Amino acid sequence: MLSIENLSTSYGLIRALKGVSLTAEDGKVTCILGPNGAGKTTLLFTAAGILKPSSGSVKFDGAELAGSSAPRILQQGLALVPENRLVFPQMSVRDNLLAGAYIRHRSEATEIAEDLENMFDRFPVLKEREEQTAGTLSGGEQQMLSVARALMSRPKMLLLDEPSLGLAPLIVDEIFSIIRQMNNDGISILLVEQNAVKALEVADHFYLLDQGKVAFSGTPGEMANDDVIKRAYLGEH
Amino acid sequence: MNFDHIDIVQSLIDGVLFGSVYALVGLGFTLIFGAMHKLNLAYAASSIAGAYIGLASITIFAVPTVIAFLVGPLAAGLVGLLIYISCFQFMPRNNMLAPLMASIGALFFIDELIIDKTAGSPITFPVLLPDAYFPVGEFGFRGDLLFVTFASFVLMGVIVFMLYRTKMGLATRAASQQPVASLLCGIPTHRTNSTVFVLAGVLGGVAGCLAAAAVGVLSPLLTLPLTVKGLIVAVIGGLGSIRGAIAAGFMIGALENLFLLFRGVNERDIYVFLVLFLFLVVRPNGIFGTSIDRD
Repeated sequence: MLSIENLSTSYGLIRALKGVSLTAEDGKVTCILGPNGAGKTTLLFTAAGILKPSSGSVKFDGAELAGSSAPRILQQGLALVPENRLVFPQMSVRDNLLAGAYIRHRSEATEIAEDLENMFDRFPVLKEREEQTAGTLSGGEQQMLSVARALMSRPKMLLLDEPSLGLAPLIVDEIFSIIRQMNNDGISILLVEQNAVKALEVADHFYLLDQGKVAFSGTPGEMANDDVIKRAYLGEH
Repeated sequence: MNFDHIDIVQSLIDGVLFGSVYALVGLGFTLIFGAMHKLNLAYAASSIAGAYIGLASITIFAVPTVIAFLVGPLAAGLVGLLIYISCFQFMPRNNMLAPLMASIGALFFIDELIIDKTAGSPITFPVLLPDAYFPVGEFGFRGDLLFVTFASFVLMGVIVFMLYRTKMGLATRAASQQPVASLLCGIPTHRTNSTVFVLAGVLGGVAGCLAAAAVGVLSPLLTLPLTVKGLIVAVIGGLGSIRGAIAAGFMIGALENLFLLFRGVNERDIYVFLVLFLFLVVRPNGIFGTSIDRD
């Protein structure tokens, strides 16, 4: 279980997170909604160790991770799939996946090779592009590569930052079915999304982040009945 | 003036062979730039420093010349690590100027240290294979230059192998192309960067020792020309391009010797700079036109 308490992160004088508290349960899909600039990416970057919080705590399975380095947090089983995918553009798809397994020990070579094959089974399009450089892939393919790369570290929980961003509707459907599938395989998921309609299909719990604070917390049912959220995120009047 | 075709071909041969030293130094610049997208201007100075330490191991501890050729590169690798720690590791990642200026400082620090310790005078460096000369028809190959070229090719092979066939190389390429994502893959950037500095340093140390052995003397006056030539080679090859640096090294070696033959030692470097100028205008991304794309 990931539990974030009273987390604050600043860029210089700008406080992007102002005491955020939320939890993401094991085996569930937790979704964070929020407008641009609400601090969603900052929250995930802080949880993953790319940014250092100014105060607060990030606990994962009981271990305090706030302020730890990104490699150490990944070792604990918390992997981030960043916004805009950030694949290694001039490396082959295969090398991108192997980079994802960097933290695993050399003695696991056979398991890593098996996982590589598993990824190719799960994402057949990556198998077709195995030797192609990642920069030549389409946006959707890069998103799958980015997810597969994170899975190569065998995380317990996956942090997904707007995986549907800029993708065609059919690809978005595919991404969400992958999310559901990963969740069925036992990986907990913390999902940041702007596409609330799609998120409603997979999420077990919702948070709304606004101006660096949690503005709403509730189940999908409660969310779908909240007037403000309905208007702002579900396009109903 | 008339030039014998034998003179021209012979100077091309010598130039290409000596160009392997430029290729090594250019490769070092390009490796560091490729990894960090920052220039380490103290790089050639660390190569010369390595050669001096190798030389000191002969003059002070009377080790065999072969050992000195191992001590020099290792020392240069260590100097490279020290430069990384002092000029790069703690600088803000987005600040380009701070490490650049710090490395210029390190360049002059090393240079002045050498001048201080040697009273600024050149010291003879043990010559490699003094009697080896291989005549081929009307031309000839100097044994030491052949050895220099051979050693350079072996080293370049080792570097390419490490970058493309090892886990460390995979991590280094990842960190170079997408630093944030490499952190998210658990790659400790400081470790890959410092490894690159040590490797490049060793490469430079070998280049420094080989150059000193081929010339026969070691002088603090070598630092700046080697810095400038190494940078020219790295830029003409396309910063970050390994094969570019290697090709440009041999090309600059050959052209330099031709300019020397046709225009004399005083004008030689003017033409080398003109070549750089030409490349910056016509092929700003280097011989092979590759530039490292960043997302």
